[in-house]
Amino acid sequence: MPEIVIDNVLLHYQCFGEGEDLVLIHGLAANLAFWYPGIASMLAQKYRVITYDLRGHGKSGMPVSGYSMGHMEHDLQGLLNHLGITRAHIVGHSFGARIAVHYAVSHPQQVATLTIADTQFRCLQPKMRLGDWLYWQSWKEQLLQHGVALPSDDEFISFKLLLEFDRIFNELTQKGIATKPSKLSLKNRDLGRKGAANWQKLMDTTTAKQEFDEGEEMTQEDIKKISMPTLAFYGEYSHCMPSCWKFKESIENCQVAVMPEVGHFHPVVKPELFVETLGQFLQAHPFNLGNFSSARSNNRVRPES
Amino acid sequence: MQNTENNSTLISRDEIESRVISVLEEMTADWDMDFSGGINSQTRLMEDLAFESIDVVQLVVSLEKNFARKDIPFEKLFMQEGDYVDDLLVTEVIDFLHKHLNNRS
Repeated sequence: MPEIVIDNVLLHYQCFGEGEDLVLIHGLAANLAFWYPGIASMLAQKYRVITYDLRGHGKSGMPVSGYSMGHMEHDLQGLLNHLGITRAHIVGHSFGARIAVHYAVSHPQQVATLTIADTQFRCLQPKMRLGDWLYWQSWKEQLLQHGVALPSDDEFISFKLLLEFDRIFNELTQKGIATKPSKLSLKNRDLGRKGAANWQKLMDTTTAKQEFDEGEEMTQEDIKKISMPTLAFYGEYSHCMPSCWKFKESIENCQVAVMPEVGHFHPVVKPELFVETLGQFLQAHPFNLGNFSSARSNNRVRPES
Repeated sequence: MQNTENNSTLISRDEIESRVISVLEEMTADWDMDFSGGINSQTRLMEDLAFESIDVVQLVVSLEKNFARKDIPFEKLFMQEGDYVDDLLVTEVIDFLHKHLNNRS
């Protein structure tokens, strides 16, 4: 499997298809399989799709420390350099979208379009209490029916909490006493047994948890600098929706797409709709070759697969 | 592992079966699995081999390499009606490859 080493950390990546370069960045506790086979295969019919495992995830290396946003940006830049890519469409989900936004601010010339799939920024929305989440009551009723110990309404919604819900639903489903309600699905197919064990190892044996939780240095003023065509792409039920509207307000060239009847993990819940919507956005914004006649440098490599 | 040099040659189902099974055996050789009894056409990827989505990626890449083809629409194998399949039999993988390797549609 193709891999590169950046600052002594091995990064596993995959490329599919031919066309304008399109990078897909997964979120925390997932891996590049978040995008494959469904989404990446479909996009690969028109684009060269590049996707990779973030450090500490999937088949990439897990250093003891070095999980700051700076490290994440540096990995992305290293991967693009390695592939000879000077300009690409960048798509990120959740924490991956956070990396994409940071990258768009710091490397605007390299980002042809930016797609922000369901993420929240502290500078755009305060932390949300469970009790303030529109859909919490219906979840709560279902969980209570099965005697699940519930967090308090005052607990803040975090990624970790969503994963915990997903784990509970998976357990109940396996016991045959619950089916995940499709309307409130938090389906995330990347946290199988091995994925969950890998995430636990990352939390227990590295400084990743502290580094992920450290304050963002991004401000709304930084976000306002984003000028490339941007798509804010959210799930209707997501707790991140307030950020969606703030992105729309802050970025001049920003379109919004809201996926109906799904939550934070909408790309894996409705992959075909995700690709269709993203495809329309990308087609409307092809590379501007007039200004970037050499969108790829001469040392571009053909990665082995 | 051998690669098919000439893509225009028809490839038999038996040939595909033996190559798919050897790819799976190689992939899962060092896995810690409850499953025993050898991989055959009725083996289920998720239920028997505990495949997770990242393993699907590795399988696809290995199959593309083994058959020297990068144009096989694997999303049609792993997705149905807009959602991911729950499980797949090895024989379904073989049938899918048999169809697409010999039919350039």
